[in-house]
Amino acid sequence: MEEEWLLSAQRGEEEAVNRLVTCYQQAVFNLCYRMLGEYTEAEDAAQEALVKAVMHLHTYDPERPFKPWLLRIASNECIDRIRRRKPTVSLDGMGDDGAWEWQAGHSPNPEVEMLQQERQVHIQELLQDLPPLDRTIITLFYWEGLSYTEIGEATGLSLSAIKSRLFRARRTMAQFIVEEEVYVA
Amino acid sequence: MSRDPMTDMHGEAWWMRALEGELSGEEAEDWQAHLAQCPSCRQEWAAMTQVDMILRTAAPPPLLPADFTARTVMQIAHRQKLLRMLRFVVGFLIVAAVAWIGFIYFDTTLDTLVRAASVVISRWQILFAAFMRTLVGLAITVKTLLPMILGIATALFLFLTPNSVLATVLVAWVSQKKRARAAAAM
Repeated sequence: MEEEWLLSAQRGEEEAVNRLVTCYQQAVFNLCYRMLGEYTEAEDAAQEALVKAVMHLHTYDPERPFKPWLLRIASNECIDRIRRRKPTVSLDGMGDDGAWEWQAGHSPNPEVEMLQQERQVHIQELLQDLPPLDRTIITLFYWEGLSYTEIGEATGLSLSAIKSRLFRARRTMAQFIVEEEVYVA
Repeated sequence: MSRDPMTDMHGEAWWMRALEGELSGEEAEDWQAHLAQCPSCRQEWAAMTQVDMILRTAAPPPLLPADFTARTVMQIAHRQKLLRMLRFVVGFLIVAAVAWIGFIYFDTTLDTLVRAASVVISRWQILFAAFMRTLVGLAITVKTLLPMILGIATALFLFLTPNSVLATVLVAWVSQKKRARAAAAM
């Protein structure tokens, strides 16, 4: 049972800590990657978030789900790193590590596929321009599969605030698409 | 005349309900009819569904390197070790500070203080033993306090106490480790 080995991890048992890291490292990294947009930085952030989580396990309430608590730590870590960043960020579409190589689907039409890829890059640029908290919500909703309640626990926001922020973030990105007039039929 | 936000098709509340699929059958029909007649809503609706599709079909992030777990666990062990050392030093410094203040306040030498403490301890031996058992009990039940208590015990040993105090703490700690190992083996 997860509760049992989380309690063991709280007591400092090494095997339980190892298991905790193994189970949740990819989910934490996925969030950091979506928020930071760069592989190496996301790896560092994920490691730091997991270390902080283990060092502060004594503050975790076993009555509540663990994943949102952990992702909240990861989200805060990413938000801190974003705030410490310098303003200019290269957004030429693809980093050296192949970041933001979004799959545009399998279209028989290469022009359509290219347009889709361009739109993916544009969407990612816009995602980076969203406030960090909105980026967190988008990431947790679309790619971590968290419910609204769990997103609330991860962000400290109410259900209505989450729905509203999610809607406005999507609307902002949609307006970008409308302005750019990039459609795929 | 103010519009009902839940039925205003240009309002945020309606759009949120539509995107969440929370419209009733009749409302959904009205919505489709509205989209057919309102170019701006139609355009924005198409764009928002495109955004939803793009976000849902995004490629998953790359996998972590194989050594990530090992590096992270090592980092955790390192931080925990630093924290234990810090607590030990803090406990030691607290007792050293108290002893130092005592020296200054009572205007006495270390020898005099040790002699006086020995007299007090010999007279209040039972009370002092109870105090040390409390410290040992705390160390067993609250593992995180163990380094600080060890620091306090070490400082007490160096400055004031007879050898039996540190020996008591060490014996209790070793016993606890043995019990934990036996439980893990089972």
